[in-house]
Amino acid sequence: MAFNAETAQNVEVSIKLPPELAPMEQLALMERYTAAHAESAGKTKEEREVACLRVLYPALLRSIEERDLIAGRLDFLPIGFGCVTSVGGVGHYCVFNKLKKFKAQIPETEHARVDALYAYWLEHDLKTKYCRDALRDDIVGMFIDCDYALIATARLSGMMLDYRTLMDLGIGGLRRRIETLRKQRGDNAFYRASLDCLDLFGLCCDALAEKAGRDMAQASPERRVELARMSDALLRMKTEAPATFFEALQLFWLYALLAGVINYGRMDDVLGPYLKRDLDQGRLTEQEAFRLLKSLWTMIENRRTTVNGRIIVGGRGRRDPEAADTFARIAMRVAQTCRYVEPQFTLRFDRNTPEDIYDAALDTIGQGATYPTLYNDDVNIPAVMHAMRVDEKTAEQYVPFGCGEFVIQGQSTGTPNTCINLLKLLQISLNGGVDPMDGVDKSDGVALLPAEELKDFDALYAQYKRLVDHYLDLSVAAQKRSYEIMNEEVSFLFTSILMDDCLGRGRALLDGGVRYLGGTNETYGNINVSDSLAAIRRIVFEERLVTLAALRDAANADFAGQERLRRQLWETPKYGNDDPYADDMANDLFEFVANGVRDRGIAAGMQYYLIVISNNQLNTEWGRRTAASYDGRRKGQFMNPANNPQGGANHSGPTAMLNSLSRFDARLHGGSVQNIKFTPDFFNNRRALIKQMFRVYFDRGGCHLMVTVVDRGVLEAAVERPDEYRDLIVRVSGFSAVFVNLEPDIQQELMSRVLYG
Amino acid sequence: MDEPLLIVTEIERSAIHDGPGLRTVVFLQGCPLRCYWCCNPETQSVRPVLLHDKKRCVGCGACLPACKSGAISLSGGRAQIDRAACVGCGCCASVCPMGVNALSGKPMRLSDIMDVVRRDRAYYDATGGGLTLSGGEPLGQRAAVALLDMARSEGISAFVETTACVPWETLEAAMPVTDGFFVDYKHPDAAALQRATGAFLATVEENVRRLIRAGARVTLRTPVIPGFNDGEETLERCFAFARALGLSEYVLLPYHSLGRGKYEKLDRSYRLDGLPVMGSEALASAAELGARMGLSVQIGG
Repeated sequence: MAFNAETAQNVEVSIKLPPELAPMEQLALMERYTAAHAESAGKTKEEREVACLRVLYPALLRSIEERDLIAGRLDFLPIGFGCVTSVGGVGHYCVFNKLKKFKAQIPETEHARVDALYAYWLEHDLKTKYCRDALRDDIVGMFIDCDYALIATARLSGMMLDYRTLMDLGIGGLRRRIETLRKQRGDNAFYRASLDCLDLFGLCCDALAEKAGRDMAQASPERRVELARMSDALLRMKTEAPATFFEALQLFWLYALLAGVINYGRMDDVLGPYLKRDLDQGRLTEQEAFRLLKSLWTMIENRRTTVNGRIIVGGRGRRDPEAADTFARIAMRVAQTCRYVEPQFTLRFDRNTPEDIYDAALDTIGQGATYPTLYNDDVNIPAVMHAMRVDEKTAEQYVPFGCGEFVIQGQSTGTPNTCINLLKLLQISLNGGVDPMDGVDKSDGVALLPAEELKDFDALYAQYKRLVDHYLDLSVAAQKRSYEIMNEEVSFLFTSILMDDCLGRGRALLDGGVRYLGGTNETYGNINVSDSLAAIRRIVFEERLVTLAALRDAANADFAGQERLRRQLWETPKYGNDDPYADDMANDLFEFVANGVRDRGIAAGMQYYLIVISNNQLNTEWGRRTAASYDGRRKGQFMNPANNPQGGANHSGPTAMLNSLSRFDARLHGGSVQNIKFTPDFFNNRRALIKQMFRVYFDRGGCHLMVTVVDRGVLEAAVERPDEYRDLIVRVSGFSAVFVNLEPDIQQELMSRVLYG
Repeated sequence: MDEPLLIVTEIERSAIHDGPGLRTVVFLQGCPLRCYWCCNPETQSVRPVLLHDKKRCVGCGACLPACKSGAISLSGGRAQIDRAACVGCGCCASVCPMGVNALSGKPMRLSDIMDVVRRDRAYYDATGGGLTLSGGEPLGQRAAVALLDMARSEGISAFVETTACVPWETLEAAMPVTDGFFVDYKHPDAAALQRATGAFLATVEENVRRLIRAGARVTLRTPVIPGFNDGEETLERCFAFARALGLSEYVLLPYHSLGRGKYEKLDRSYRLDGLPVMGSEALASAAELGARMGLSVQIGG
């Protein structure tokens, strides 16, 4: 069945803090939310959204923690409102498996109340509506059902808001702007609801200021000063634009929290000018700025959004680069101090990036922080111009979110609502439409010749492409449908207010408001497919060691009794070794899939729809349910991570791998993640060489690099003695994680990656 | 005329211990010496040799019919190689389902080698790196000089790691196309050197002198083997030789045991079994001694 309401909806690596409200209070709140939703059935979706948000805010604001220097912690419950699955859910949501768990926390006498909520939301949960509408048995599955070759969801991931406008105008200025637009363009439900949201923002300021005030009574004199600073800022920012770094920081944070966004964007551009002014004018010491940023880092970490939490510094298109670099330098020190998985600290750089910032970045990486992750503006800006069809000034505002997808900050959506398993499709195409993993026909009517009748490589490749083409049609349709259904249900008001051109057009984000409606399609198994194709070409059609049908049968049997064949496949040239035989194939496949997705997006009327070769841990999870492949990979084994080789396939040193990584045309994708792993000895003791090595890679077109620095044997030791390695952070791919918290086969996948040094 | 071939053990890219910058090291088969600690014993024979990982052999017998020399038999559930009969043809490698057989030594055309070397050109330019020939004794194969020449003619730096225990004419031919020589100076006593390695000290020293006189860039290196040449007096004499030649730098390579597993795969015994790996700190006092004698001593490659 394509849809099961209780399936886990996202990758959840980190455990979240339990809500502050007692279970029965949570139940009452969820009931109030449900009632507000039900009672506003006849109203506009904007009115309904506001009515529901009023139930959540400020009720779900948590107490200010003793160590917090800025105010704003927010809980979420199994029922509520949000943008993404990692904090709550999407739109008006119910997370059914969590509601079921919640039920166990309350007395049995109250269970019927939960059951009533469950029944109501089965009909009203946004994602459920999407799943019922868009999914198809055996063909389009739900997130994350690994039996499918294509999975789709509704979510609004990766929104990064226009905080510069928020800073310039403040809440009061925004309000005035909306009032003016109302007069100019005519009143509508969106404007009215936007104003209601700003009122709600003010209520939250009041509530937090009150919490700060309450805490002051018990606080030490030093703490009292900090709490007073919060309280003053909160009350002032209800109407005024921020005047200080602290006020700017507090305003940004509370807004991001209430909007439910989990990626933050170019904080150096937004906050740098305030920081520099305060430092220059002696209002703030560097030490205090460091403390404040460290507190921000901690608040972000505590949200536990696992594969998100992007803070980006550096790069072109910042209003005041010098002030922004001041922020970046302090942020770099914070990243060195905090061994956190989030924020995902990101450096954009180009030829003009100050050397000390680049060096500090390498130092931070060298200390094992896995951060910052490096993005090359010299490649990415021209690439984004082509990929997203925007001008240079716009492209300069590209920001990677989540696991590595790009959006234009404050101007575009890029949510990856579809994921495709390219390797499964290859197997299906060679098995007459049947997935050898479960024997189910997933051809969806595409006519496929049996392997016996594919007489040459071109015929085989063409047949595979036909099946991929069909699935890409399904993919773009599923992505578009996700926007339509979300738009039918909600306006994402807080987000819309700070996204061009929603206010100007008087329309919510997905209602024609957003300037660039984009999206992304995550692709998996890319390299397993291209390595498989290269191996088939070599072993079946060039060396004629085995027939295609026999190879298919051997792989379907997981190479039982055919270990020699498996070895021959594994020993054919593999991507990651700078060997044109494998890399040309990889590039050909890349261009076919990337153009296929991009062209379909344009034809479907989107600004862009792009592949993203990112990776959370889905390469491993999907690999578990993917049959043995023709590159010598075994049944159930992880697939290749992101744009990297299959673990262990690259044996020719880091320069060879970097040459392979930089083969692909960055203008065709919306983000492609490149991992590399070094020993501390190599990375730190040969820094000058590393630096030049990276420089060459970036000059050759390398768009991105994320580096894990870890000693030989450390990962293996951590598997043996996890208690001793609780702060060992590793780069999974599009995100970092505490190694010992990962599942065993994901740990295995990480260990399989070649360590250079 | 056919393009000359080199019998290549391995091509290692991104090497950082074999000369300046990032380098591609081409290891060649064949060595006139037989140092008892040799960490690349598979390179000693110029002819390809079979490495047989008997620990992983499951005794399936697939290799028996493949061997045209009748050099393989099954014994104790595992394949046994008759080394006297094995001709290093490699037929058993491709048929082994477990991949336990591998041939060291692959004839390669110079142009094919250069195709690999050239791929890291940009990294050489950025780091001052290039090609390094190693082995074995890389100058033992006649075509080695031609390879150096090809690299140099493309503007790629070329270094050689040599025993210097070769005819002077070979070094002389290599010199115009080589940017630097790393010469292993293993012991300052002729008898000790001869016993442990088979090398002739007089040849080595004379070749080094001539290289330096002719203006070649030479770096002397001593692989420090406990019990053989790690005594202070021995190292002092090594340093003295360097100083007498006017050198200001010296490299000490602490003993490591990375070659041990290869002996087993070659059905040879490893004489240093159980000898612990030497940490670089063990050579700190030797480095100080070198410094007192006016040498900048680098520990490790």
